[in-house]
Amino acid sequence: MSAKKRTASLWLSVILLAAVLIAGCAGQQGGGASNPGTPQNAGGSNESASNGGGNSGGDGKVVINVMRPGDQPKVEAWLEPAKEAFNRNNPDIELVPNYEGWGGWIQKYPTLFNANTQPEIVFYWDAKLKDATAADKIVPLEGIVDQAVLDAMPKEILDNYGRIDGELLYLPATVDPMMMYYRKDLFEQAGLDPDNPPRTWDELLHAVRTITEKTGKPGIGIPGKAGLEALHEFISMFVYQANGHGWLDENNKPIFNTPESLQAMELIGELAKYSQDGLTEYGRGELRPLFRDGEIGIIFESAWPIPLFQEKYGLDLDASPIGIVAPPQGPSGKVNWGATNGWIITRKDKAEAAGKVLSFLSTPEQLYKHHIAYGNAPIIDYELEQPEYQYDYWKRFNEVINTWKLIPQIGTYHPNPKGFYTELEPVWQSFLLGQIGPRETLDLAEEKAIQINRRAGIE
Amino acid sequence: MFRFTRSNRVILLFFVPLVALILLIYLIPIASTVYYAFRDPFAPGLSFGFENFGKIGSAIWPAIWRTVVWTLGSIIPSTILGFIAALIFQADFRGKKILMIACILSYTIPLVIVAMAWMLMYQQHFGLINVLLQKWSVIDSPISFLSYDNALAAVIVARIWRAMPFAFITYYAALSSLSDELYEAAEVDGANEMQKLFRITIPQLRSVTSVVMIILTMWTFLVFDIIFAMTGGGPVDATRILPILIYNELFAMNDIGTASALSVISIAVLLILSSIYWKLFNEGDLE
Repeated sequence: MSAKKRTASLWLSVILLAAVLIAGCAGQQGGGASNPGTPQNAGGSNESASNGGGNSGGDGKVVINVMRPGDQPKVEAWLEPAKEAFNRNNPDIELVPNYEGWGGWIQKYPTLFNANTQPEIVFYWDAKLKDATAADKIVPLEGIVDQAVLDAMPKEILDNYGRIDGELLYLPATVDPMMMYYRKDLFEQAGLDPDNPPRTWDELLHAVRTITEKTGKPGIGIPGKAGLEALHEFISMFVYQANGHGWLDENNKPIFNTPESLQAMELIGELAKYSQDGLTEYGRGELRPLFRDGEIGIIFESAWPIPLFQEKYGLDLDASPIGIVAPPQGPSGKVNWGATNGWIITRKDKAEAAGKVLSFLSTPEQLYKHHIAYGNAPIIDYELEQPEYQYDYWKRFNEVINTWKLIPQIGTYHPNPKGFYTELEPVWQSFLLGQIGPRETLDLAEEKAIQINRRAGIE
Repeated sequence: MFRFTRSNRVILLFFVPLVALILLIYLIPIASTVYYAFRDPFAPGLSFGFENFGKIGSAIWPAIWRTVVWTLGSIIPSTILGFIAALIFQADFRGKKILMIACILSYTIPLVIVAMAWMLMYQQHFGLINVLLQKWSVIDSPISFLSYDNALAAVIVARIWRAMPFAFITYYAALSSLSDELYEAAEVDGANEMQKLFRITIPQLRSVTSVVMIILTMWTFLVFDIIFAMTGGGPVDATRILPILIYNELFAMNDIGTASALSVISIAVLLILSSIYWKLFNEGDLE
C-alpha cells in the first residue's frame, strides 16, 4: 500500500473513532438535567421525545416540557391553546407540550425517569408517587404552586390523593370513578327496563345474561387485553366492592385473598360467559366503538369515552340510547375503583418556572377546559356552572366522586406498582379464559404479589 | 515472531479504532450483562452466585421452548419461501422487476408498523382477514387469530412475511452467481429439472443457506417489536418469548440481575443453535 493511501486510511479510522466518541458524549450531555445543554423542543415542536434536557432555550427562556399522556387529538385540543395563552403572557418561560398515548407512556416512563430525561411536568398517577423509578425526583408543591389554585381544589381530594405523609407531592387534576354505561335499546330488546338499570351484582348478572340470550349480542364488554392496566382496573372494581378495601395494606402486604374476593371472582367468571368473543384481544379502545354502535350491552368505564359518544349522540347523552349510572353495589356498599391523575414537578432546578406553568394549567378555567377536551368528570364548583356540565349524567359522576368511597390503584406507598399490572394481568387473563378457577386465581395472584414485594425489598 | 517494525506499528494503529469499537459496542456490554447476571443482589459487597437464575426459575423453560418454536417456526418457512421465490425470479418474465419490488417491500417496513398492520388485519370484528373470509363465505363466524391457542402462530406468520425478503435477496444473488457449466454438464448427462435442483442447486447453496439461517435465527430470536406491539407477550403467556421476559424483568420488575440472567441464557441458546446450523450445513464443505 502506498504511503499516501496508508496515511489516508489512518486518518479515516481516527475520524471514525472520534465521531463515535463525540456522538456518545453528546447524547449524555443533551439528556442530563444537571448539564445545561441545548434544550429539546425549543421551537415548541409537538413531536417531542419527552426529553427534558437543558435549562434554557436559545433566547434565554426556561423550557418547561409538559407531558399529558392520552389520546393526542383530545389532549391537543386543550393543551395547544393553553400553551399559546401561557407563552404569550410569560415571555421568560416556554411551555412545550409532549404527546404520548397511555400505552406508550406506561412503557416509557420508567426509562425516562431512570435516565433522568423525564419532562419537567408530568401528568401522573396517584398510586405511583412512591414508584422507585420516580419517587426521588418528585418535587413538593407547597410554596411552588399558587395557593389560590390549591384552595380551589376540594380539600378531601387534595389531601387524600395529593399528600404523602403530610407533604403535597401531587396536584390532582382528574378524578375517575368507574361508572356503568348501558345501552337502553338493548335493554328494551331484551325485555329489561331501561329506566331501572342494575343496582346490585345479582341484577347485573341477570341483565348481562338476558341481553346475551335475547339479543345475541354480548351482554358485557370486558377489557381483557393485558398491558394497558384496564383489565386489572376492571377486576379491581369488583374486588374493592367485595372487600371494602384495596389490594394492599399500609405496609404493602397483600390483603385481597379473602372469601369476599372469591365471591367477586365467581361473579366475574359468570360475567365473562356473556362477554365478547376473544375477550383478550380487546382493550377499552376496541370496546368503546362497539358499545357506541350498540354491539355490546354494558361496559364499565370512567368519563374517558364520553367525547366519543358525544360525537355521535350530542352533548346530552341522557337523551341518547346510552345510559350512565353508578356501578352496581357489591357487598361493601358504595365502594368503587376510582383513580386520580394529576400533576407532578420532576426537576428541582426548574421548580419555580414549572410551578408557574402548573398554577396556570390548574386554574378553574383551565381545569374545566382540560376536562371538557378529554372527557373527564367535573370536580370543582366552577365546572358545574358551565353549560357542558349541566346534564344529569355529569351530576351522577359528581355524586359518586363526592359520596362513594373511592379506592385507587395499587397501594399508594408501593415502590413498584407497575410490577403488579405486569404480573397480575396474565393471571386475570388465565382466569377469564377458563384455564384456572377463582380459588386458584386468587392464590396465584397472592403468590405473585408476595414475589413482587420480596423483589422490591418488602418482606 | 512478531516484530515492532515501522510498517507493523502502522498496521497495528489501523486496528486501534476497530478494537475500540468492538470493545465499546460488544465486549463491554456483554461483560456487564454477565457481571449483573451472576452478581448476588442480596449478599454484601461483591458476591457472585446463581441467585438471579433461581429467581426466574419456573418461567424460563416454557419461555425458551416458546422462543425456539417462534424462531424455527419463522425462519424455516422464510428460508424455504425465499428460496422458492428466488428460483422463480431466475426466469425472465414480464413484470419481473415490479414483482421483485413487491417481494422485498415488506423488508423496508419498520417492525412496529408490521406489527400494528397485522394486528389490525387479525382483528375479529373489523380486521381485513375476517371480513374477507366472511364475505367470501369461507367462514361463518370470525376467527380469533390472537387468542391463546392461535396467537403464537399468528405472530409467526407476521414474522415470516417480514423476514422472507431477506432470504429471497440472498438466494437471488447466490443463484445468479452459480456456474452455468454445471447445469450444462448435467443436461448432457440427461438430468431433469428436479435432479438439477436437488443435486446441483441446493448443494451449491449450502453455505448460503447456513448464513441465511444463522442470520435469521439471530434476528428472529431477539425480535421484540413484533410480539410486544401485537400481543405484549399475551394472552396470558402464549407469546412470552425470552426478549419479552427480559423486558418485563428490567422495566416492570426493575431487576437488572434477572434481566441479565435471561440475557445470558439467550446468548447460550443462540450459540447452541448457531453451532447446530454450522455443523449441519458446513461440515460437508469442510470435508
